[in-house]
Amino acid sequence: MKKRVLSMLMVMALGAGMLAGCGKSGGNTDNSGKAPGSDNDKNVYAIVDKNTTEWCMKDVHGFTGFCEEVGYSYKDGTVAETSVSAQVQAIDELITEGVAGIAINANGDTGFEQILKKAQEAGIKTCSYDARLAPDQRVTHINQTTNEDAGKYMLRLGVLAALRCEYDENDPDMTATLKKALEEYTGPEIQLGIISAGVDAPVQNAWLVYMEEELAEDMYKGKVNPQMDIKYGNDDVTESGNQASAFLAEDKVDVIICISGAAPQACVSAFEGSDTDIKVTGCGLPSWVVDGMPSADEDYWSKFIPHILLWDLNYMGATAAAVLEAAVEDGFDGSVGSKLTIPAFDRYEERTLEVTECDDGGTEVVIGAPVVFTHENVEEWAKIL
Amino acid sequence: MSGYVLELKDVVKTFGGVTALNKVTFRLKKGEVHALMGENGAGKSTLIKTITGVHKPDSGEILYNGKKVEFHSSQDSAKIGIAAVYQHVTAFPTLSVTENIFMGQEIKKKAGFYDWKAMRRKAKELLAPLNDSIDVNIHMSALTVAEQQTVEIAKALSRNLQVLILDEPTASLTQHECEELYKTVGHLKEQGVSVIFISHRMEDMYRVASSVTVFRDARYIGTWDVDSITEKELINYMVGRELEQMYPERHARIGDIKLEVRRLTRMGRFKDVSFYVRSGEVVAFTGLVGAGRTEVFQSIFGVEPADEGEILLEGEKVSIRSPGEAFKLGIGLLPEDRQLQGLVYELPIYQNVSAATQDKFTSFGMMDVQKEKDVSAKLCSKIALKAESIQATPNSLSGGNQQKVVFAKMLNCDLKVLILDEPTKGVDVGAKYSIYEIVNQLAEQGYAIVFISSEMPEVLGMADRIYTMYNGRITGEVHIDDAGQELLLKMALNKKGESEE
Amino acid sequence: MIAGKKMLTKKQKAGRFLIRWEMLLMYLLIVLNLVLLIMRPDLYLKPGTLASMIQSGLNICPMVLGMSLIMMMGDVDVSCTANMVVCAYATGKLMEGGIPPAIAVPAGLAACIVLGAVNGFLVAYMGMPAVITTIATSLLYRGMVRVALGTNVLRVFPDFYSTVMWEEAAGIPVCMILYLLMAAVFVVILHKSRYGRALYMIGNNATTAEYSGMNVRKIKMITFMIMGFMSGLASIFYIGRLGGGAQSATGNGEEMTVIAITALGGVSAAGGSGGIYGPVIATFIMAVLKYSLSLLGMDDNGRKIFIGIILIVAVIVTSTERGIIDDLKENMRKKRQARYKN
Repeated sequence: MKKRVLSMLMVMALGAGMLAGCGKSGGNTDNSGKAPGSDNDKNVYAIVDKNTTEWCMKDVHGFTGFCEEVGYSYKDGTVAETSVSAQVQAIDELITEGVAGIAINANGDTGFEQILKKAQEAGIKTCSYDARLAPDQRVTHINQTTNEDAGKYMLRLGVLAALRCEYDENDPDMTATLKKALEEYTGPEIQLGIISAGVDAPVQNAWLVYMEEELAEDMYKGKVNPQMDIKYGNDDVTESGNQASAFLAEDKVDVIICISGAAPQACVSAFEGSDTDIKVTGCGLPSWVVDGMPSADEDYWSKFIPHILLWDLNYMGATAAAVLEAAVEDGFDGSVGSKLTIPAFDRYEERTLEVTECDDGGTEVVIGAPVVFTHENVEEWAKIL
Repeated sequence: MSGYVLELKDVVKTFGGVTALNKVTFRLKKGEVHALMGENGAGKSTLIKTITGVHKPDSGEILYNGKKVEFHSSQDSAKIGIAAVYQHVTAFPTLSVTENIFMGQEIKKKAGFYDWKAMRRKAKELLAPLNDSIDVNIHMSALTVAEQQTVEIAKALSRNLQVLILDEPTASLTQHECEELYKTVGHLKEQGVSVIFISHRMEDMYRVASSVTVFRDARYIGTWDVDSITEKELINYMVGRELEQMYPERHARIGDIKLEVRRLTRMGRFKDVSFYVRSGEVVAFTGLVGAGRTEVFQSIFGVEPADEGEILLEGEKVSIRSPGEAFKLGIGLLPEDRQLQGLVYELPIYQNVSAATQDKFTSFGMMDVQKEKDVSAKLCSKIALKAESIQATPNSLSGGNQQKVVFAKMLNCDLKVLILDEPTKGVDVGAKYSIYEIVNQLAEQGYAIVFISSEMPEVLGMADRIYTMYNGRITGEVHIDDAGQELLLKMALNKKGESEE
Repeated sequence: MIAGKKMLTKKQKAGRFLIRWEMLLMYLLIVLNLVLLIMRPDLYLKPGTLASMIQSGLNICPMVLGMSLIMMMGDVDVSCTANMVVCAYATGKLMEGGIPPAIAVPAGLAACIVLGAVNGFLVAYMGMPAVITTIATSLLYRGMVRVALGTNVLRVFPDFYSTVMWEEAAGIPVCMILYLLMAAVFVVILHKSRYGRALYMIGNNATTAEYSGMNVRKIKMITFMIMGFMSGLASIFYIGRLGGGAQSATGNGEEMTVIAITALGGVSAAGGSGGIYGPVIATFIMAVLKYSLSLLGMDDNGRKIFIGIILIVAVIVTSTERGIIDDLKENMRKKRQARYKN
């Protein structure tokens, strides 16, 4: 008897939940926004990121913040599950809702053909950012930085860390500093470790190619092992943590270069309490790694993350929105050489970017070179990113 | 008050359609050892479960030391000092004697940790007067059955024991161990504990008890002083009714041997079992519960094939590895536990009836439901099944009728040999007669019937020949004309003086 | 003849029918559609929305049918999606090598039947509990694909995969037509065939089934093999939805959705009760529910919580002997009687 009463109560909770859920649609400004004064339901721009973790939300906030300020209607369709099928589902729903444009940061490069075809047939413009997707169907791709820059910069930061050589602001791409430091280096061969994302993550794999290319340069010969120890953390914090612990246990690498967003944070936890010599660098969100880095008045090498880089995720999201709007309103077609103007907003000035060729056969817009964080500026940046 | 430590008045308990206790009375004087006797199914174990709180009576009262009590669980009865030690020891075999004794009532030190030293000491104290050779540190499973029983009694004593119920304690004991048990009971009596002693053995009663109560067919028959009643009278009360009118006549022609079993053995269960059954014959297998009869026939039926021995069907050796094969050969089994093995209560009656012969109703893989229902209806009326409709489920039926459904299932098949395992268990008197009639009809049709039963009168009323089993072996074979109740009881209780293997 | 046969009046029969679990599910489905219709008529009536809703939820449909049989026996198969991935791997790899679909697809399906047989062997003949066993085989099968496939994604699949999931025939999504056809076959299998009857018996009381001469082990084995086959079929639907693209992690987690839908459909987890109609309706319920909640603006987490509650309720109600409606009526009758007495 008690079971039955309990189940009736739950049925009622269900009913209440349904009503509550329906009520949400009215005043929900969390994931969609209509800019004040704009036409209702006109040209909504949507964004679908990889998942709802803090890292990806930086892109999304860039997108939504930009739209708010500049006056576009927007919708965030990102779901928590990090899979292609979940994104396909989200895009399907957006198509049904009749958005004008969708920006996608894909969890994989296959599986989207049909859904993008459906979007095209519905007249919806799509663009990809961070992870490249569908070169034939997208307007263009927004790359935070060229894969070449990203890969090589991260590699150089790694070698600098292994050599205990500080990053010099005056030599932003580090080539001069590295050349000198490597010449003077007489120790055993340096072994680099990598924590990547998924096994088939297109962006990370592209970076790895450039890193290998960099390692083939003369200045590394004999000093740094061209074979990197690559482990895969699947962009998942727990999994990356496992890989970090593995590196710690094996103790064969001199430095770990994190090329996946979840990795540095995982390293911070994995390395806690350990007195290892291994350093960690790569790309990372300042707000997450600030605990692993020395503060402005501490020694450069006092913590295990001496320096790390990133690109402006906020701006990337904003650019994606700008691309969609330009495609829908101004006929921007993303062809090589065409120009895109991103209006001023927040603390950014107006910028014009030129569309270039992308390795995958489509086109892309590159935002700029990566930003390197050291103990000097990490606390500042931690507030923003 | 009345001087009774425990009193039950007009207690009724039913399960489904079956009455297990029919307005029974029971009175236990303080400090006495009171024997409880009756056939299997008479209501003894239900009585015990009601006293210990496992079952709640449907009506009637239980008085403890003159005060009315109601138990909602066995913990309630344990709290006021009632404990039971069963034939099948329910201890934790992998834990030590001490742990078992103190399970649930461990002695703790001030900080909350268990005080094993104190517990071990107390365990030794408790065991000393009963059996001082038991090591309190070894696992229960290393003890003999008798020793385990003693530990259980010690456990009961540790909980402020007032009333101890011993359910068939001597069933698996050697003569020597029985003597030890009698000493223990004497010790308990000295301590002021009142004991209810359930047993089939007269000897137990004469040795320890001062009064004896008889139950029969869920009713309280009477209580007598052990000194003032003879064994013959006691048996009569237990078995009771006039045999002749209870059992229908049978005119079956006994033919050739249908089933012969030679030296059938299954490790740990039964050994060297040999017997034969002829067509038209009803051969009974009797003995105490646990003697191994069900296991023998489960092996023959293919549920758990035997390790050694031969089975011959109509003279030819057969190998039966599954019930499906058994049915194909023409051997059917009416299982002992119809709830677990005989019926599917969630499915309608007609589906139960066709369960063993589905191929008769299948064409191209599909079930012919109409044919099923027709055949079921015919069979059910043949055995006078009282049911609302064959589309109802069996739980709406009385115990007797449920059993009839299982019969119908068997009748649906083409069988040569039908094994009936306690076919009237949980069946009320009226339906029993009906079932006896069915059995007779089947014998007259030429079936070879094995009739397993623990009820002596039933065996005597229905069988042509009787085999008795004890502890996995056949202890005797007797023709109906030569058999009598006392002989059967003696054969069933057949004990060799030495310890068992 | 049988004494005292009580016949239900037509009205009573109709009444009982209307309160069956399957009908309750239908009501729920209708209510969901109505809710969406009322709250967002612009979306609901827009052409293509209904089709999108259905298509989004049918990517796992064959497994629901197979799972109904498995759960009917009281078992469960958590490895179904892993099985599906192996099929995808087999078919994809063969097609990559240039082998035509006519051979590649059946090869994949055959592989799945074998995997199903492995499950069946472990559960039926070795007597291992189904849950743990299939969790283990799930890891095993996925692991095999992970090792074989490594970092790659298989991209070459027959065109008809996408057609199934994205196209319509006479306005009805192809996947829906196929699903209903398969469901019809399963209705016959479960409700009419001897094998189906055996499933009900085994699910309710496997011991009695054995004592009645049924070969319980063989039947369980067959069921697991059928499940394997359906998992393989599911790969067509699932990959079709993705438009081609299978890797070792594909579909991970969907097995829970499948089990949930089957449980919602009234197939008790303990076995022995339910049918095919329930889970089929439940598939559509889940499809519409997930989609509408998003269209109505509920965020991702809210949706998950919501669906979780529904499932808990469904499992509770179906596991309390399906008598909840009768129980309610009984209570109301008692209350009425009590009122009369006072």
